[in-house]
Amino acid sequence: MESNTLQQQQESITDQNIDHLSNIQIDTAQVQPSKNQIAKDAKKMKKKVAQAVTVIVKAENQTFEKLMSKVPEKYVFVAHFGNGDEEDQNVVYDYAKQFGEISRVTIFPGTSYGHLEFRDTEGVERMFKDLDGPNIKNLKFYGKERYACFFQTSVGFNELKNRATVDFPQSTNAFSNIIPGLYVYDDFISQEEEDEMIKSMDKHYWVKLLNRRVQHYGYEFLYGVNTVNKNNKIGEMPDFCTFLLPRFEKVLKGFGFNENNEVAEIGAEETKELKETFLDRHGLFDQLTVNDYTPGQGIPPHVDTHSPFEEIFVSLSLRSGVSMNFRTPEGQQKDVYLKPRGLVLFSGAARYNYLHSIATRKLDSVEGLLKFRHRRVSLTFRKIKHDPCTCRFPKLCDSQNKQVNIDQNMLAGEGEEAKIDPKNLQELSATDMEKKHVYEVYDKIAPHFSNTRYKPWPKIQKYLDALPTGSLNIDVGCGNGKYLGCNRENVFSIGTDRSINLLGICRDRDKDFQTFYCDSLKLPVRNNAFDSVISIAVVHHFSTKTLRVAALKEMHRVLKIGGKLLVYVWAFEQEVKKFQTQDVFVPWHLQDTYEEGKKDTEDSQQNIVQEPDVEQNTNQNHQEEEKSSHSSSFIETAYKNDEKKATVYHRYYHMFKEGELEELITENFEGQFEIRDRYYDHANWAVVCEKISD
Amino acid sequence: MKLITHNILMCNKKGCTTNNFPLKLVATNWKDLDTENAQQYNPALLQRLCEKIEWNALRQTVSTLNWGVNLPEQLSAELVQDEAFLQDLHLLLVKRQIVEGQMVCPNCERVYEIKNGIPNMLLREDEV
Repeated sequence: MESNTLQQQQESITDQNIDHLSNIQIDTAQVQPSKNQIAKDAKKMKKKVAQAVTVIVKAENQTFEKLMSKVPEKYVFVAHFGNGDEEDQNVVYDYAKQFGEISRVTIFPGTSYGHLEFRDTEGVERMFKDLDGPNIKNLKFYGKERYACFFQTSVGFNELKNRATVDFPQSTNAFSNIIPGLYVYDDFISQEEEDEMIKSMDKHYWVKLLNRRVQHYGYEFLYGVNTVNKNNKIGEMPDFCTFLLPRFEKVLKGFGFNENNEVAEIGAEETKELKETFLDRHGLFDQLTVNDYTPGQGIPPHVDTHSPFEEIFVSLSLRSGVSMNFRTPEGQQKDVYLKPRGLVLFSGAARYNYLHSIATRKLDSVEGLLKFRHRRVSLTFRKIKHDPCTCRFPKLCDSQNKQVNIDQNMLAGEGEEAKIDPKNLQELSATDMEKKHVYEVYDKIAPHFSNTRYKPWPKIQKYLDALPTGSLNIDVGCGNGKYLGCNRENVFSIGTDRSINLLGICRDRDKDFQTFYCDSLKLPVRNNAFDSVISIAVVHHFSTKTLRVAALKEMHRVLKIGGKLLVYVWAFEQEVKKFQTQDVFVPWHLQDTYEEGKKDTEDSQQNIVQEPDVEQNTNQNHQEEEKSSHSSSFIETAYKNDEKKATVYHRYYHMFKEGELEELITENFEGQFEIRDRYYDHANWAVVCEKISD
Repeated sequence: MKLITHNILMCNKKGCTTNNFPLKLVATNWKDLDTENAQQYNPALLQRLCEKIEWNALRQTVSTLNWGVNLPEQLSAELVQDEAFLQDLHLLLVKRQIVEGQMVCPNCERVYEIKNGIPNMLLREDEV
């Protein structure tokens, strides 16, 4: 009877599994009716348990036998607690920890099951003795009682299928000696003080950046060059942090200088004799940057620019903790959890030689426990420096190493999305992604590509036809020059491309076509030279927002005031092709007749391939550097497809959602570009804008 | 490469921000396009282009090319109405192409090669 009931409930479990389940799990005789009222509803419990089993078996896609064990081991599955959010996790953790030390609690956001790991099997035994019925415990989630189900299992965290969704780098709470020069002060302020500060700063104006909001005090922070205007003091420290100043004094009295003028903790052997403290020499902090992050927002790897600030700076976290990654250009790295209301002090290597960053995600993993992020406000206090930096870490030092692209967004103090690959500090001109999956591919497929693109699109032709006589027009990313011949009686057009082979094709088509070979991020063109810029199907090949904005900035620079820009980018929303993610690899099937040495133009017309199909970039979140480099390594740029007698090359695309291009322009070119027109054309989003100021 | 293209090019190497225009031009091979291949003579277009050109840079460049062309120091309103002058400009700016040669930055001396009529302005990674 019982197994029948279960069978009706559970279609996805095989008969064999059900038998097993009914044998070991459900035996109402075990439950003492007097013990609690759950026993009265044994049927309901059985249903719950069976449902829980189904959820876990389905999600983990492993056999029932493998997942559920009869004897206690260190691991426990838990199900039916809710949505897998922070409250759920805390309730489960609080309940389980009374039976033994928990080494890991894993819940999978959006699902209603999770996994516990005890230090030893005794903890599991004790816990199961406490259950209200077989596999059931009545716990309170959000004030409401729920039957949570527990199952002993021999499956450890590493064998979980869902693990990938929560397997973040492990952060540590321990600070000492992990990163030289990094010091931490827990509970630097009280909760009441925290509330007061938040309330007060929210009355001030927040400057909106791409990925967070900011406020600046003392000196203005100049984004782009990532320094401060030292001659322009904009005011004192705000009232809401006046109470912190005596505490900072105390902290800064604890640091002095060694014989090389490097900051050292007073009291250490080498600084015993030293009298002059950091406070004596430099005084209190005089510049403050407040950053407001919502869950999911982060900051790319950066060092705070060396030259504008003295060695010590501190950062106070409000409301939420966060896992911060530290890594050296040499590749050493560590994740450290910054607690709410804690102060972190950066000096020495931590300040000068570690790039620090916050990953863009909503949860952090701290010593085995998942921590949810909330709104986090960080206050970074710095001291303006008036002479060049002479630190012993020249690699990332803008005063000592002019070779490093420090001036251009690279070692951003707080550069917007300035992305650093510590392995390669010079990447702005062309990231590996663009090189491997855009430039090299176009050079290879140039003749074939050209033969599939010969007819100007009417709307672009119309735009060029409407330009006033004598206009100078530049086609950034001109490809085979399909638009260089448009309206040439009246317009003088010049094309550029990052593929020299495509430019050769332009010239073969028409000796009159003017082109030069360059990167669209670095146009070798004097300022304000052009009346018009067109950029057709180019900006979507840049893999980060920073690069896309940088490309638009160059176009803005070379335009005259009053000049027009026409941009086309591939649309995410397409009638024929559907995409699951915005960042994709689009294969190009290069017919063998186009391979070098086998060029056969007679054949080529009939070999034109149908519209290329699309492969999803498995990589969901492109902003995460590690992931993206990973993806480009497992998708080979080219592989031979014998059946089709073609070689397949993958081009990288960022597919633009509706409105995204306009937003990119309005957010980054306020007062510089004004949008005049926008439309959808040939599966592209198009925008026409006018340069209204430099 | 036409001289009008040369007239908008500058050196964009890292750190090279002043005196980086015009690039010193060395033309080892140049050619005039046949009339049927070249853009049509269009006085209105040339007049407009004159307003956009850095005249001094053009004049200076032409003077170093040994083409036997001497441009006036200044563009006057009368001159841009002058048919013969515009015809000369048409030849100089629209029909004549530098097929092989070099451009050198007056400031940092970076050399940009011109091959098959296409200037290679691509910077190396350590130059950006």
